[in-house]
Amino acid sequence: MKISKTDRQPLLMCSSLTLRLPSNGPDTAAKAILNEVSFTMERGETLAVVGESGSGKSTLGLCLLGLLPKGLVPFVDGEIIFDRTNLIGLDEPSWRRLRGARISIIFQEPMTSLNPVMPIGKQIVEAIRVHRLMSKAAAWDEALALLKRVRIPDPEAKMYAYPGQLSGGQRQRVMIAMALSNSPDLLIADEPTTALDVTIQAEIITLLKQLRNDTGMALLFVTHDLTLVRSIADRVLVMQNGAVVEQGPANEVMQTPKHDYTRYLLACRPSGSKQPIPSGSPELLGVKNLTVNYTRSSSLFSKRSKTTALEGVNLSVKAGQTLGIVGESGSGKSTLARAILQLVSYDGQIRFAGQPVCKVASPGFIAFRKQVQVVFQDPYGALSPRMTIGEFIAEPLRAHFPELSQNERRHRVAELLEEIGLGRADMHRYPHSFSGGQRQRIAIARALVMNPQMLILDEPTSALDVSVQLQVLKLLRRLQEQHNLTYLLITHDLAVVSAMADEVLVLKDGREVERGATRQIMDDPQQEYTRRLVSAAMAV
Amino acid sequence: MTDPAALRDVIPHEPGLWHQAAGRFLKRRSAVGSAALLLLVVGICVIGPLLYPHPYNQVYRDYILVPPGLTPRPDPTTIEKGFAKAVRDAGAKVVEYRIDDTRVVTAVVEARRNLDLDLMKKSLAIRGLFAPPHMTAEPGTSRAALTVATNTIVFPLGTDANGRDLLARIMVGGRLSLLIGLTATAVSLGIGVIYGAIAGYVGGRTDAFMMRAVDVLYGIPLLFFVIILVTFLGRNILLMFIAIGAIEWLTMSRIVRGQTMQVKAQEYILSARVAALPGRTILLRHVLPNILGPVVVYAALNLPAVVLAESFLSFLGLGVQEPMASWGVLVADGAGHMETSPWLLIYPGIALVVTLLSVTWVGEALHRAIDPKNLD
Repeated sequence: MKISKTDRQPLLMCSSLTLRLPSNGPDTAAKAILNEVSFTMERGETLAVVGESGSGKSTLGLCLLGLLPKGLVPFVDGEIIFDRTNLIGLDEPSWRRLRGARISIIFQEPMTSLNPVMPIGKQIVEAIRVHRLMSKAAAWDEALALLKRVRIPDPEAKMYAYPGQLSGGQRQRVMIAMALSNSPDLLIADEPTTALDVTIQAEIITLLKQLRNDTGMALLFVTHDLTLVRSIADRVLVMQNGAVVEQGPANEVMQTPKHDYTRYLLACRPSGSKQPIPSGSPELLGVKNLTVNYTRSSSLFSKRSKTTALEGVNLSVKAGQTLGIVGESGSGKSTLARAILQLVSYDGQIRFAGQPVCKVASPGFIAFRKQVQVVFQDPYGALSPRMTIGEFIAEPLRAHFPELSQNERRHRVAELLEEIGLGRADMHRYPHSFSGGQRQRIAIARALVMNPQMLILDEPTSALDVSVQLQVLKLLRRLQEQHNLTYLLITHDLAVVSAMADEVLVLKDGREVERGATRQIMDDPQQEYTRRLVSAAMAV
Repeated sequence: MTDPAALRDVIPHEPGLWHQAAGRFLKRRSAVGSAALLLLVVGICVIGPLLYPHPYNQVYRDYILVPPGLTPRPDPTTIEKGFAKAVRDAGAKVVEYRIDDTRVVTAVVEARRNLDLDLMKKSLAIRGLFAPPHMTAEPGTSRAALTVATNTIVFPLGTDANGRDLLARIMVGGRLSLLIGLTATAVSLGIGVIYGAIAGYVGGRTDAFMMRAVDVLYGIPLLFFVIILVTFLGRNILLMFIAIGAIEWLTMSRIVRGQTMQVKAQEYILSARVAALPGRTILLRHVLPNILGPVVVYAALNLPAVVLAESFLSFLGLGVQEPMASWGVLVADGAGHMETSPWLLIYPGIALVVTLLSVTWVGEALHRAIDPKNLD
């Protein structure tokens, strides 16, 4: 990279960058998506932009790339000086020369950022040749060199692979290779590790750090996760509602945060641990030798192929206990939840409250259903969009307690809504008018409406902002204490498990890796895989 | 479960989804406008022929391919010629002739020999031009003074090549086209939605068999199907309804199946299953309301397809037969006279386009109204 010693001009200088949408109508105020954002970046520096959803951090990234939707461009104000050029008001041809060549981006979702019907090698060659005059053969060699640099195993063969044949982490490496193909001065990484498993997350962060050191490019790292900042960033910019609330050297901000919001974000990591249950509690759920095979046949007559999602899993949960199930994607943890909930067919034995679980559609089965309920990950898919939340929460009562009058049902709903921190008047509203965290709490209320003994929580907080995450975890804790609930908590997040669970079961590729008390697993893991998982979770 | 004291205060009921949807629908001016337009078209087609003087099948041999307009017919020359001819046929001649602004003819006729008033009356009536005359014979002579009103005919939208009034035919044709559209939509909603929802929701082998059955029906060409029906059951307009109905639900069932499979994977459906709700409840309360959007839009798109299918069948002689009409038949007929008598194409075309547009708009407005996101 060409860094002249006398060049004192910063690489990127943003001053009072503002994106204010005009008010539509007299009653709505003008909305600032970005509000007076100012910062500078030197060459070779890593700046982390941290904020929750709606903070404007992704919009900032789009501004720097000239990728804002056309309708928004006229409302941008301020200056972005990139290497002595003001990027505001730049015309499209100039942007095209800049974009991908001097400023590159990698996105959160490596699955959708690559063309699925084009081999990897071709896509990288294309990215190279857009900006440089180069023969196909030379570009091919260059692409191969890039794949080697991002440390993809067996790069020669991967050049011919299609995106679908790579794992999520490998796809993200390919995206990084493409972003680096023209040696950019600035790389914007928009939540590059959010969709990845923790162990792979750590690898990608290490890779990005190394590449930055090798090339001397500047790295703008956009993330919602403050803990990542410590491991990668030189400086940090904390954003809230479109405005910068604090910026400074990473260590300083992390150790002595000045702004309340930063302090709040830092305090949002789940902490504490679960109160142990009294000894001698009876076993509520017992699972022996559970195996789930998925068979799929492409047509009526073709032979069925079999994949094993879960093999020989045993577990036991006592009343009032929380069992954390930890694993990365593909470990079978969600399949385990679905098997216990009788949503998929399985081999093996599941006992609930000492009784084997009855066959579907028998009266005993309904009794089981009333006792075990579920909360899923996605707060947007969890509520029926054409139903008021009151109807939605009360629905199991209508089906299973027909003797209740409508008014009695409503009172039960009101009681639950107050318990989860919403008002009783909210029962007449539709799901779209609630935030993600509120929706997740509504899903919890629905799960509780029949007074179950056990809740299966399938990644209940993974889709939520950190601060909301903590509120939901607190709610779950309080509900557990009040109603003596038993939880089966499925998550990839070890911090959540360590704060919530009595015991932990670690799954990998459908099999049990390790099982034990939470403290013991976190402090002294016996298996190599668990050690890697714990150290990755602690490192980032 | 609940504190009994609290039960005494009743929590007020809020209007349900459909009630609110109706409210949202009525609030949108374009929705109400297009619904009113549609109702107007339907009203004209249903009630119009009862009030309109021309029957749809009456042939006016003297008025072939009359262009549209409000000019009263016949014109004064035709009346004078017709009157003279009628008088001559009754063995008399016109001595004095006058026609005033109200198209009342005042004349004096003279017979060669005896004046036969009855014959004169018949002769005038047979032309179809005149109302019964008022005659006074002048005593002692073979003359008579005659006052007769002319039968005025107006063809607002002109006539076709057979001398039939176009407006009457459009209104009667509209009844048939709208009825076919309604039937096909009802069938595709009734059978298609239920069939598709069950196939999509149950999935697996059931779905495979149900959808293969649809594929088989898809494979039968509409024409072939109608010919089979006609061969076995004889020619009947009802057959066309059956045939079109039998074909139209197929696409709907596929659309609904696809949508259902998508909705089925949503977590609220899983949580409904975990709450042990019966399959019927899940389908009716969770699946169907959430796939209504595409269903409404497709149902609205269905109508033009059906009207065209009907005109195709009629063109082949398998559907509507002369002198009955439908919009499809009228448009096809008009297309044949496009160069010389464009009104034969233009007016049925306008009727069709206005109806289809208002149906599409109503469908679109319904689609928006049932989505609670468009609350404001």
